[in-house]
Amino acid sequence: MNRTSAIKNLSWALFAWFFVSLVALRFGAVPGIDLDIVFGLRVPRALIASAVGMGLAVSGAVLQAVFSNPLCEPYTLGVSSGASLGAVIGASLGLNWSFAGLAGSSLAGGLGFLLLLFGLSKSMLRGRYSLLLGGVMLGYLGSSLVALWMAFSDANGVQGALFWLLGDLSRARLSGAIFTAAAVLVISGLIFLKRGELDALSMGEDFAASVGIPVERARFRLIFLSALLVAVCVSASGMIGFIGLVIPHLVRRWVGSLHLRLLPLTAIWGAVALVTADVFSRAAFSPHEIPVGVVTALTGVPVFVAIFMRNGKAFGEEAIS
Amino acid sequence: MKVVLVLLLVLPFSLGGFAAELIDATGVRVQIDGTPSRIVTLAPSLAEIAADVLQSDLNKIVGVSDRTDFPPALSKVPSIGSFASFSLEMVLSLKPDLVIATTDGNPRDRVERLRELGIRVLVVKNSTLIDLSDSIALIAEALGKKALGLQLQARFRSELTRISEESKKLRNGGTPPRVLLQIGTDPIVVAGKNSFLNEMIQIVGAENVYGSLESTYPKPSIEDVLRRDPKWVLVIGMERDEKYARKVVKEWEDRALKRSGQSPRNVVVLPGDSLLRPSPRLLEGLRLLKSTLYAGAL
Repeated sequence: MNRTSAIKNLSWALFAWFFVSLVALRFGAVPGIDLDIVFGLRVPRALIASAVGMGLAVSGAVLQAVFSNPLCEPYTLGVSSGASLGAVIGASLGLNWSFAGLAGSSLAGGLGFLLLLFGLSKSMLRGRYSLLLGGVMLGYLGSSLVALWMAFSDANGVQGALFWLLGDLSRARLSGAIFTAAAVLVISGLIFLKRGELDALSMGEDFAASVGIPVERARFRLIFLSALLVAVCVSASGMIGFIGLVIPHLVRRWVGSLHLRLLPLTAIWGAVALVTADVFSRAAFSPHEIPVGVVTALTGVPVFVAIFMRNGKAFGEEAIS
Repeated sequence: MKVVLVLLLVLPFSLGGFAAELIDATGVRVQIDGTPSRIVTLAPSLAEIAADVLQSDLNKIVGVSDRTDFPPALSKVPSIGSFASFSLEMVLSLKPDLVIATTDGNPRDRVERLRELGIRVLVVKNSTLIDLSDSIALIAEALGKKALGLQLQARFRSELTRISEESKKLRNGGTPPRVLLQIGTDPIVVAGKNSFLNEMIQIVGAENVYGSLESTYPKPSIEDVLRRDPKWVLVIGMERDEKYARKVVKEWEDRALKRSGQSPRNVVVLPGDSLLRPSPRLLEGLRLLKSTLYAGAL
């Protein structure tokens, strides 16, 4: 793929993001343009949807490459379960920190689980599959603790958290959205700087070692950055499925597995997908708002199947390595 | 000169220039300047309280939450979505000068978000019957009808006392009926110690089998319910169809049959609106509970 077509692809993606962002500012639960609504509600939502879509898609691309596994997605490592647990506990204890709603306790939960995962990886989870399994188990632990906490909590306290768990961007505030966007851009930028390591790791660890990549250290670094990205995204918006699993696959199919091109395009298309889903979640059944995670899954699966049927090529294996 | 002075003092009030500073259930000072004329209520119970206060001025309520159907005229008012996930955009688009919210069910951070967006929000707490009577007075004061609010509050409290005394008479010194108040069927959700439903059971002189459990709405296992052996199972249903009622009654009969030697349970399905909404209509709910439990004595 030459430089011109790479620039063309990037321009298309940016144009699509710009277009859906304008749509997101124009349409919502109520018709017409009311500047209070546009600047007070829609701008922070479009910004946070862009940031979270970007973060989830990049995180999915990184984890799929590091583990050479097409089934990996941002929630595989269990950090998201920690964030959910933090949110549910925070909501029932009334710790809705005003700057970011449930985000404070959720981020604390996500980071707690991230430390736990890396604590385990230092002492016993050597090798990428051990780490992957450890993450999956942490995920189960987190979900069970969420269920346990909810069983003993009063419905009133955790009701907000329940909506949040299905993916909810309605809590977006400008300050929180700017924080999330800045964090996602910085972490994604750091990941982009390590694109060479990602390319090598996606060809297999033996190959990576043979070209002089310090495998253990590179893997640790990339997984840490990716998990940090997940903690930031989940704490901002709850659990939004589909984006982190499927966007990297679709983009990889289009531009190949070289992370120089894959990462920026995955990031922008992730943003496009989530901003679009959010407009739908606000406007489709107004005044009822559907959790955006439900929209991404319901619309994403048919899109994925349609692309799969049109190309008829197997997804996953060929795309990653 | 005196006349001018009196006029200057009276004029602002006669022109609707009412002003008040209230402290709501979240401890926030809510400044009210002028009688609110565009009110949005974020729960059906709040709309019922506001309607009681506003009486014929119901057109001041410009937005309500889903399922707001009492008084019936309010079912035609635009909805802002469900009380648990109302649409911020819808609320803002209605340009309210007062939003009434509750700590029992409205997501706290969405309510805070409204405040951040410059909307005046009065939050009330309706966790207990005393809270509810205070909320009636607070909402009335915010709507510029303080005297009426105090009147409604006093009437509500005296009715509670009256129903309690009537129930005591009907029980006639007998042991309090052991009651399970079930508000959800799958899984079973019941009224615990911290719910206002528990207070209602106590007011009609009955004993809640979960009245000592430190929880608002616990979800016990069937085994635990059977062990506590309630003589009355009062199922509060939001669904009003006969089929639902028959299904619930049959489920309890089957459970009772499996435990031989048990005294038969009275399973009754009661309509939910007047029992589950913390509004002045709870008095109807209390009368319904009383007439159900003491039907034989009436």
